[in-house]
Amino acid sequence: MNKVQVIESVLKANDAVARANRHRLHQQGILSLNIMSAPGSGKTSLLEQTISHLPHDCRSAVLVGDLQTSRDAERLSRLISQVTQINTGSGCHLSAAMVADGLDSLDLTQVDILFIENVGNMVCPAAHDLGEDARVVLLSLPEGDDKVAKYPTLFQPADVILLNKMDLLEILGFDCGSVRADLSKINTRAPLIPISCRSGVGLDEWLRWLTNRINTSSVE
Amino acid sequence: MHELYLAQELLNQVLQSVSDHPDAKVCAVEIEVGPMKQIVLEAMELAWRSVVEGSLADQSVLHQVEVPITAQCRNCTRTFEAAIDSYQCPECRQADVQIMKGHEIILKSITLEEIKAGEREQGASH
Ligand SMILES: Nc1nc2c(ncn2[C@@H]2O[C@H](COP(=O)(O)OP(=O)(O)OP(=O)(O)O)[C@@H](O)[C@H]2O)c(=O)[nH]1
Ligand SMILES: [Mg+2]
Ligand SMILES: [Zn+2]
Repeated sequence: MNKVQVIESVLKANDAVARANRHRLHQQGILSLNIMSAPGSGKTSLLEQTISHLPHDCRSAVLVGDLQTSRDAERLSRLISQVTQINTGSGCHLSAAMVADGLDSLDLTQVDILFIENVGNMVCPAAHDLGEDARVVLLSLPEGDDKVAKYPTLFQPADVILLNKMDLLEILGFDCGSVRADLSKINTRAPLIPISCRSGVGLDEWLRWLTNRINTSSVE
Repeated sequence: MHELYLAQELLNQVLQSVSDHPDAKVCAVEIEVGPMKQIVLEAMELAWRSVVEGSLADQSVLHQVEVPITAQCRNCTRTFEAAIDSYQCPECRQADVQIMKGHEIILKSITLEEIKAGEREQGASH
């Protein structure tokens, strides 16, 4: 019997690719955001709203992950040309390697901000670094006001949390106070911004957060 | 949910680490599991059983050791043990932390056993 000591992270391969992605994006001066939520919280809707409201000198690109179909990419390519759909097949999250392939499909010299829409899932995407600069997490009202406490590993590393579908607040009787109370134990750093991609409420505050982030990263 | 993927990554890493021991087979693998990776230990065990089949690590035992989450407060720099559902600093009550430990899965050691000549022939016959 012979014991070999190793001490290596099992996601070493993913982490190394994530670092390479981050380096590649920074070299091009691109800010990248990893957008995560449950299926149907409104990630693609948020991107549709965001892309149409960004200033014209801010050129965006999207990598969008789904198990199947290119429907999200089709929706987004009505607004911008640099959109790539990544189909993960049975994979429940994007990996850094898939993002690296996705980057090859884009003309990065023409991009200022890269949105990566992750596969709709509240567990696995949170465990995989893609090389992003910031994590945007969405929670939509129909999912229930208990989700921050139930999925702490998604919300803990978030840089901004968007509470979407606020237009349904009254119908659903959603308790925003309970979300804030849970966040006080899990993440007090990320601002919580209530929005509605339907009515447009709160989108100005989200766009302010985003523009601020773009400006601070270009100063660095 | 991502246990199968992790088991596969782990196996790749194990096989790579032992590639300079051609006369040995893997009989045990020890990993440190951070709670923030949200691994279900039983599912990881099953995933390991299925990925190792037919490899040098076939029949190997997977030892999983759970480690606590260590967090450092970004607000007051205090280091403390966090829980999966609470990252609140005991000093300043903020929940704005850097995770120092507990968000990784770490391969710690591999136990090898020499393959005896007879065993190898047997292995080659099927
Ligand atoms: N009422 C209401 N519906 C919304 C809002 N935002 C999105 N939706 C609807 O919610 C559904 C899902 O929205 P998507 O943007 O496709 O959600 P997604 O997170 O991209 O979904 P996946 O990519 O499948 O995970 C669609 O029918 C949207 O029209 C909102 O603010 N209010
Ligand atoms: Mg979508
Ligand atoms: Zn503190």
